[in-house]
Amino acid sequence: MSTSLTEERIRQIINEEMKDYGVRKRAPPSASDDDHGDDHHYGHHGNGWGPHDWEHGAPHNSWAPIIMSFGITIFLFGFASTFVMNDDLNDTVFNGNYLPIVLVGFAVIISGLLVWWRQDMSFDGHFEPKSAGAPFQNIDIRKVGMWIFLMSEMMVFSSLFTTYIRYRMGTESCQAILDNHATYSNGLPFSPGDACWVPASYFIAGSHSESWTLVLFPDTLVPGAINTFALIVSSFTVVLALKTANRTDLDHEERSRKIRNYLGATLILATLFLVLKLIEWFVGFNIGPFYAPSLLDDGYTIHNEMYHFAGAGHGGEYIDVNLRLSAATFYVATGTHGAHVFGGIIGLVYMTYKAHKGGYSPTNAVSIEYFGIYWHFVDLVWVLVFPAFYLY
Amino acid sequence: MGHKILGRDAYNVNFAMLMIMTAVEVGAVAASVQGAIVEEMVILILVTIGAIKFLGIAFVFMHLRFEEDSNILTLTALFPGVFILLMIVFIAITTPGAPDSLPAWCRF
Repeated sequence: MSTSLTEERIRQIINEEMKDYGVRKRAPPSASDDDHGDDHHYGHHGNGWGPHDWEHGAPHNSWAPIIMSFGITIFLFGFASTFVMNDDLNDTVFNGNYLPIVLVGFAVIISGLLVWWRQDMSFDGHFEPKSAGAPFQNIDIRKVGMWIFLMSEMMVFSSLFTTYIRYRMGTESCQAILDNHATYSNGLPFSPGDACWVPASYFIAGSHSESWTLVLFPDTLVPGAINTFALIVSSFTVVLALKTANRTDLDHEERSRKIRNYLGATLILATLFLVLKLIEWFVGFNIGPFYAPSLLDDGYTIHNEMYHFAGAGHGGEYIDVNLRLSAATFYVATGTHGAHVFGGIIGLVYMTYKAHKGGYSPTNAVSIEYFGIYWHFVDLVWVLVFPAFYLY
Repeated sequence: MGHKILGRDAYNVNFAMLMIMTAVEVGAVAASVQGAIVEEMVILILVTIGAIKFLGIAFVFMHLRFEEDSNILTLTALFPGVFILLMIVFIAITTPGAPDSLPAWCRF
């Protein structure tokens, strides 16, 4: 008896097998989806770059994230020893002995990242593995993974906010002490160098701000406000990229071009966010009448223990206050958020490139969705950081 | 995808809402700096708008509503809330002197 296995019959057998392993089959790509020359053609079984073609096209089963985690461990171990706080000097001291460890860690991260990207570049997502365990049955396993990751992220940012609220509520306001003529609310006198709370908004959105080019609000508030709008717009461009990737009425070339443009716009906005933040911290703006000194120039640093706080409504009266607590909570919270934006930029660089190479189609648009969930979370955190640290 | 709010695309409505709300936030602070509104009012505006924006991003952009698996993922997102609540109650809204005022049986 002779049996001829047609392509259709082979697909049927594969589908039956996949059902047992909780793997959903997505629609196979159309000819226009599948003509961009990668090694992901239907039925292809991986290559030397790793098991990225895990059981007929399912993601990702990659060891690269483990390598990256290892690299991050090495990097942070070296980095923490390279820049050491010296209380006697009241400054951060550079220790070059640990620099090689930093570089090795960095190299391991980069190599892990490149391997991961190389594996993903050839994935077009004909199959999406489903979670089998309660309570996530039949939800895409990558989606569950992203949400579990975000749960841990929520804990990270919650601890930062908790610290902020704790110290903000538990430390007397410098303005109140000044209003009380250098006396605490319990009647004890304030000594120069004592800690009290000067919020970051005093330097950013305070009435003492030096320049008011726009009349309505101080120049120092402008970068933060632009950043807020930039993040919201970038969230929307990711949504547009996802919507476009799901469109079947466009040909592959036009769809890829539009996805690339939307992801590229997101990348530009994310970069703008970080650049403005760095300028706001370290450089400041001095463009014609627009003048917004950096927080560093304004003296809002974790080393400043003798800041001349003049407050509002006291003429020449001032008190010398210790800013370390307020500045540390501000820089750690906003810096951690900035690090997440930077992580998003790294992902966006790759995704924009992949879109440019025609790597996204309706069959694997969920990859953009999962990145989008992360990016919206970054936006979500900023929605809380901006009013808490910049405005209040 | 393709869900509607008030008969319009949910993502577009959410985006417009976020932009307008942010403008109101910044405007409220500007008015406060100018002395046009009191600080308590600014705090109320910031908290209210922050909550609305938070829900808009979570429900619409992050698909915690309108999707087949929204409910279980919403519960997943809320799970850390238990720990966050514990942190806020026992750490955030205490004062630096709080441990000193604890009864002896609470201390190690």
